[in-house]
Amino acid sequence: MRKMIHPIQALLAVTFMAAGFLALGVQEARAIDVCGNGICASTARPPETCSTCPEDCGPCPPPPPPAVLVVNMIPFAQSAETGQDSEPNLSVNPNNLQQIAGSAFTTNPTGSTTTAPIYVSTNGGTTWTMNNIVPSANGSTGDITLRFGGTTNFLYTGTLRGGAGLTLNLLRTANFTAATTMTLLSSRANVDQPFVQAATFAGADRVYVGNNDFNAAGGRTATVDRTLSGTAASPSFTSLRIETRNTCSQDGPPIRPAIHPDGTVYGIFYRFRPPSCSSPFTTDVVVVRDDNG
Amino acid sequence: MLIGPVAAASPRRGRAVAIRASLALAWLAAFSWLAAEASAATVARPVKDLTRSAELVFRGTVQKTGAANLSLVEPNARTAVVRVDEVLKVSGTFDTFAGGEVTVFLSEDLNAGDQRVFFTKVLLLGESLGVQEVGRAAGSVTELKAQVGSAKAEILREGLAARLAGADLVVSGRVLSLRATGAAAKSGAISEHDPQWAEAVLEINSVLKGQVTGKTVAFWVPTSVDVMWASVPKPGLGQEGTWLLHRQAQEGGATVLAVVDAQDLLSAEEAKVAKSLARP
Repeated sequence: MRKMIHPIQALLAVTFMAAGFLALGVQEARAIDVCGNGICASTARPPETCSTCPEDCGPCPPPPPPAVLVVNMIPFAQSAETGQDSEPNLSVNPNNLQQIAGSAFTTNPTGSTTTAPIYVSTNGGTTWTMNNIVPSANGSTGDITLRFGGTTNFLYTGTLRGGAGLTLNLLRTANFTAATTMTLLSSRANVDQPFVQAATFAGADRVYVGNNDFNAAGGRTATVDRTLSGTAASPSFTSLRIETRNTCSQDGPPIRPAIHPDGTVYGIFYRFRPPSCSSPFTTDVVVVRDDNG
Repeated sequence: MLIGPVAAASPRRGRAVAIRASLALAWLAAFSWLAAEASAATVARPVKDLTRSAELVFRGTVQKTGAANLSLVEPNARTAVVRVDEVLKVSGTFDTFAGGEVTVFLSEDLNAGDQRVFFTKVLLLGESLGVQEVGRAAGSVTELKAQVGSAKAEILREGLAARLAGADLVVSGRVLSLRATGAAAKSGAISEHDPQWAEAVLEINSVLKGQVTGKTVAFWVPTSVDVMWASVPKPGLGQEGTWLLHRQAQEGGATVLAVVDAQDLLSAEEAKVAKSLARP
């Protein structure tokens, strides 16, 4: 004999079960799936089959590469180091995108006090090697930035020589992977924060090094050192004062040049503006331009 | 010259010849001794010079010639992969790959299986090391190991003696107090490289060099961790140590004692050697 269930009882039972599932956190097992996501899910809604969704029925494809590849630039041989390595700088060779040079405030791990390292990659940044080619007086880099020329493969560096205070060194190498110490192109004392840019025009590298030159008369310290023949045997640098107004004895430390592909050169710096010449300084952000490079 | 027959003809001349012969023998003996000394000195000096100029000295076995284990290095006839069997000297803080393999830029040809003491400078630090031989020394591996050991001790003493000579005052003691001086940078310029001088007062235990009146001495220390000063030791309250102090002119012309170099605080080993050097 079949036992009859009253509709109200059935409704109560279903309601009770649903409430129980909700209370236990049980959710609908089947989810709406997307064809082509690599998951062949028979529990998907609608169920995926090899005929309706063949791309999901084989082995799962490898996960897509990450949008950003994170690489530790500190080479394996130095992976236990704990130096500051601050104020990093990076340059990709426009003539060979696999070649990347990096710099930071890094000490020569060999204990040598005559050279300091740059970081070198020849495989697009996948692996890195320290190359101790920056002349130094204490084995460390001071302020340092670097740039490749446009098509010449030359690498230029503006740095404060480690262990020599505010001594500006402008350096060059024709082969940044070679173990030969970089060639000193220009040097002078009492300069801060060299920032180098370079580009090739008509086969010659133009090199611009923004710097805060405390030797400048009248406190107009924002300066760009420039050569139009960086690849010459002994390039001649000229110090161009890009500050034309009075200051509070000096401009702010960062003076940054930039080169447009058409040869126009820009510079940006902070002018410490009189008459309120005490910290915090009233500051103008100044942009200058040279249409003739 | 016909010395023999003429000498035999005259006893006087014979004596003279005998004297000359004796002198010649003596000169020869002296020359031989000097030559031997010079030869010994030639062998001994290079090991010390090589040890001084090398950043990594190791006993190694050539694994493969015309090879390299650094991706940056194009192998050629003068590159070899060498196993580092035993590190004899290392300067700095890099991984020496002891027990592992490095790439050696050879100064002269070697064959696989050759064992040598390698005196090298470290050129490249990547997946492995790229080291350049700075020279080779004559002698067996055992002899060279002993010579390198002696050279290291001598070099340490000489280096320390030079550092002590460059300091105006060398004192050991305990830091009693620290206070900011508020002094401007010497250049007077506004820059992130301001040393941010503080004054430390040291309770003196002993004076290794110079003269001090009283039981304490004050000196300046750069507290900045900017790249220009980060490596200079920063004393902490109560810290004990041996300090190399240098007289420095500050802005305004005043002269103070200061620590200015990463090596101005001696390690315990260095302090022991420094004490022995300071003894009259």
